[in-house]
Amino acid sequence: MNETENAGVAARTMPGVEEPASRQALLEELRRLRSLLNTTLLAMLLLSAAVNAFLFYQDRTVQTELNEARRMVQEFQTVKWPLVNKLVTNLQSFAQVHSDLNPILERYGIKPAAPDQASPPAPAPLPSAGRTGK
Amino acid sequence: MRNNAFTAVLVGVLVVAAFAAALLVARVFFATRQLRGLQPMLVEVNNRLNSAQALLNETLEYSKRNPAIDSLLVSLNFKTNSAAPASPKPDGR
Repeated sequence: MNETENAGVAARTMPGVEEPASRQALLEELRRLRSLLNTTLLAMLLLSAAVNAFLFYQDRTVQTELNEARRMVQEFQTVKWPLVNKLVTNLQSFAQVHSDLNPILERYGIKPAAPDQASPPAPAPLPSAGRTGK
Repeated sequence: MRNNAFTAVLVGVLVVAAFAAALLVARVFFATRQLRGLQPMLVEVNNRLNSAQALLNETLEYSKRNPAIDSLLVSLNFKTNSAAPASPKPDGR
């Protein structure tokens, strides 16, 4: 902003006031306004830094939790659930010969394998990984 | 003039900070949504693992009554050979 021009415009709009004094007052007012603007900007900057710090921390926490959840699901689908399926299949085969195991299997909803069944079905389907995004 | 430059710098930094905040908010929003979507699956996974653990525990209890199942449990590494009783295994595993 051109200060001289502003002071001249202000002097023209205030008749009866001496120009030098008016100009000094306007310059002082302008200086105060600039100072106020800078103070406000600094305060906003500090506030913004605090908000950013909080968001950064929050982002890190959520990303860590998300990675952990993905790892758990991945490990379950690739390692643990096939092992459980294998155990159930073997137990079903074992129960064909040793029928006293059947009550245990029935408690978990596992039906005994048919004698001519080559590979008994898995007890339950794997949870689908496609439900992650909503 | 120097005051103007200082103000401009402050405004510039504030704009950059605002963009950074918007970016972080978007990242947190989408990550939280994904995490919320994974929660039911995690609950299901935990339930299934608990059921499997309970079945395994009962099978281990059963193996005390019927050691014939030991070979099956050892082959899946659910029971170690050292923990198995001294009686010989039917299939030698």
